[in-house]
Amino acid sequence: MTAQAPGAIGRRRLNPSAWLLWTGCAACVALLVRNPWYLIELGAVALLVAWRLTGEPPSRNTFYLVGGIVLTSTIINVLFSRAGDTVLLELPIPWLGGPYTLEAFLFGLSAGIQVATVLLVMAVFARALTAADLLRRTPRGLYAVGVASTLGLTFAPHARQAFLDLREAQQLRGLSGGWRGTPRLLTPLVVVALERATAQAEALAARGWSVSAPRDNRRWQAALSWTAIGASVLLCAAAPERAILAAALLTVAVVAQWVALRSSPTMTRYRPDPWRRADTLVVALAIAAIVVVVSLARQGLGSLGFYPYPTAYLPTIAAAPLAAIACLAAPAAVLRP
Amino acid sequence: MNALALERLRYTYPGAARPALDGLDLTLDLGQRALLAGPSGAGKSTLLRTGNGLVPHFYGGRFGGRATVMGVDTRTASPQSLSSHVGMVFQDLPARFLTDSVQDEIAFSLEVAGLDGQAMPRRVDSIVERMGVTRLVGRRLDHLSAGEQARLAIAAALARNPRLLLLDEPVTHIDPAGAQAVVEWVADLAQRQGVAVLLAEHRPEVWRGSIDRWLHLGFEGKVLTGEPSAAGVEPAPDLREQFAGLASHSLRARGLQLELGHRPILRQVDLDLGPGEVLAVVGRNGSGKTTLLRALVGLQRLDAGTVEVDGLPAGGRPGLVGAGFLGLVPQAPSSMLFAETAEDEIGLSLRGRGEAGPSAAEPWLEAFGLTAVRQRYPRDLSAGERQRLALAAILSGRPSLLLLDEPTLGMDRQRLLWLGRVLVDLRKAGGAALVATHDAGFVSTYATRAALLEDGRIVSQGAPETVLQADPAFAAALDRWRAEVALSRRRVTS
Repeated sequence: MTAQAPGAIGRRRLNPSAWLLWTGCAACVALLVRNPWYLIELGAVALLVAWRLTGEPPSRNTFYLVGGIVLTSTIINVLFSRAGDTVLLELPIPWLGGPYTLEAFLFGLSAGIQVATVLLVMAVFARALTAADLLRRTPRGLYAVGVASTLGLTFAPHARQAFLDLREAQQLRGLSGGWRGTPRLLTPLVVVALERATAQAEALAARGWSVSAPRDNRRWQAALSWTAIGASVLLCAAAPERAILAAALLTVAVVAQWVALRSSPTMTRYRPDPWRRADTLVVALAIAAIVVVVSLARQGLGSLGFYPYPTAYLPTIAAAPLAAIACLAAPAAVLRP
Repeated sequence: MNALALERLRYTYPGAARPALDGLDLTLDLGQRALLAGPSGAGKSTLLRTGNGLVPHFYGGRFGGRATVMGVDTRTASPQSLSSHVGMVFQDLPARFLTDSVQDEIAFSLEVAGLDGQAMPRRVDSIVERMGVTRLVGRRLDHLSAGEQARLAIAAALARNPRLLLLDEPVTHIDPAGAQAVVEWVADLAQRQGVAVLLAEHRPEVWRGSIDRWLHLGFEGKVLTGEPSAAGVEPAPDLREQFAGLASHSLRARGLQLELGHRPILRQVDLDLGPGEVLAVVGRNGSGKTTLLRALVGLQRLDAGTVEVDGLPAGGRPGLVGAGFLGLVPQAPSSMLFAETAEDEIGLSLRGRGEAGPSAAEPWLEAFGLTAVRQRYPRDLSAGERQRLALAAILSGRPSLLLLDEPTLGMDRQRLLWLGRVLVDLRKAGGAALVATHDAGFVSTYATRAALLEDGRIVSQGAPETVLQADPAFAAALDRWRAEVALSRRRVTS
């Protein structure tokens, strides 16, 4: 194989599977935690990792996007949630007049921060992996899922690029930019991002990747497996005390998936992605982070949660979750610039 | 055996009122190279997609007649199974890449085909070497120039040794030097390896001498042998009325410098553009043309240098665009379209300058040949119509300094003459245009002055022909263009 130019391909430096696991852990943390301090820490970690990954500092537009999400969520919650003790404003107008409360403000703010953090984590994922990385890891028994998730993966970066292009085009047309111009962007944004996702799907088909469902018995294996996963999730939610049964169903699902995986050849590999010590480190720290957060959550949410109703308070900070989230910054440490 | 045989092919897209291809017959033998010309929107891309089964398998719709590839009927064979016989290179390459490195991109089809992992590196290396993409190895795909992307896409399409190669405007985005290399390479493939090549193309002069068969696809959905006649000439626009009373402004740029990711993109660029001028900024892919245009309108921040309009500093803010001094039409004009209908699109610009009313858009639609599609959604229009609409949307804001980024991409010669007329009208009304392009023919015909950009530096400036001669590839492209013009003149007189 030909030697690579130094530092030319930045993304290959961690194994895609390690990226998948890191994303899974970081996204779970982002979804479990509601305390804004921890979420801000996690968001900063995601930005840092993205920076080291691409070599480019976060753009102004990233901050606009985050700000927009947080602001939208806050405003909507203040307008529509009238609960809470601390009334900030109440006008003598029926319905529209409030009361607007501090609690609603804080709740909306923390919800917005959570959504933005999940997005920042997923942005790292989208930049670290290519469509092919995912397809190679898709068992042939799960064609439809593989293609759908691949297109989903490419949709986000395409939508981001389309958004930037459209913002520029808006300036070039001399149309009002900023918040007032945003609604005009929405339809073209979806159309452009879908066009690009379709272009990828078409390229996949032309290069020999089969988009159709597998033939023969793999189809029922996949169906069985998905049904089992769905049933176990439902069971867990409806009857938590039957956890054993749910676990048994999950095992069936895993076995079915495994059989589906084994019974059909996946893609052969041109050059297997090497698994290095750095990958082990990243995965170990990510798993440590999720274990700490989950076990804390099991003991009662404590400082992980944040629910400002009925009376507002400042969320507290504890050392363990801070340290756990800091572990997720491992990719930033092992990626060489 | 025929590499491709189409018999009485009839195809209608789902939901479409009339067929895109209608009773079409075509056979292509191994080793043959056929060029498919025709107006944009006539169905060239659709025809190419019947060759690898994407039509009808990917798109659905109604399919009649018979299409066979190496004797395999495409109705029963899926695009996946046909992919061992057929390699395809699409338009809009960056959106088609599936991996992030050169070798992975080439290896992808081999991996999908299940080629043994031991044999694969040898196979990939041999393709890399044979296709002359060795120096691209190890680079990120989004950092490749348009020409390099095209070479890689062709190399990747050839990975499985297909017998039929389908190319959809493979050299449109490539400068003359890169285009010539791709043309020679395709010709060589057909001759030495007996690959059949079917390519869609707007500008025949690039391929003259490397093609065995000339095909033409008209709006009636049938393939005709031979080159298009001058029949379907679009009416020349008359924009004198629209441009009447245009204010004259001049642009002056001094010492423009810009670095992106530690790479110098612009180095000490000085430019002047005055009323009545059409200045062509000529350069190869990656020479900094697009960045220069973006910097002039304030979309790209400069490290050093000044941009002045009428002696007033304009650098760093797109405000001058809004004020109607400058207008920029970027390379992919569909990003500029926001409205629900073509008519509204122009109305949006007109309202921006306080000219409201549904009838105000009328003369613009007519001058740009868009009256028939006025109620359609802009992004559903054909590529040519979208391009015209974007130009109309910018021009109806009446900027007196018009900046165009590669406006002739994907234009056949008729369309190019049409665009030239627009610029002539603008110039005569006291406006000015700056055109970034690698289209030697367009520059020699319509520019009043040219500047050659090389690695972010202006290395030659002056009369268009003199400037083009400074770069051998542009000089050769100019000769090809002249020969083409002479040829079509002879054809018209005889």
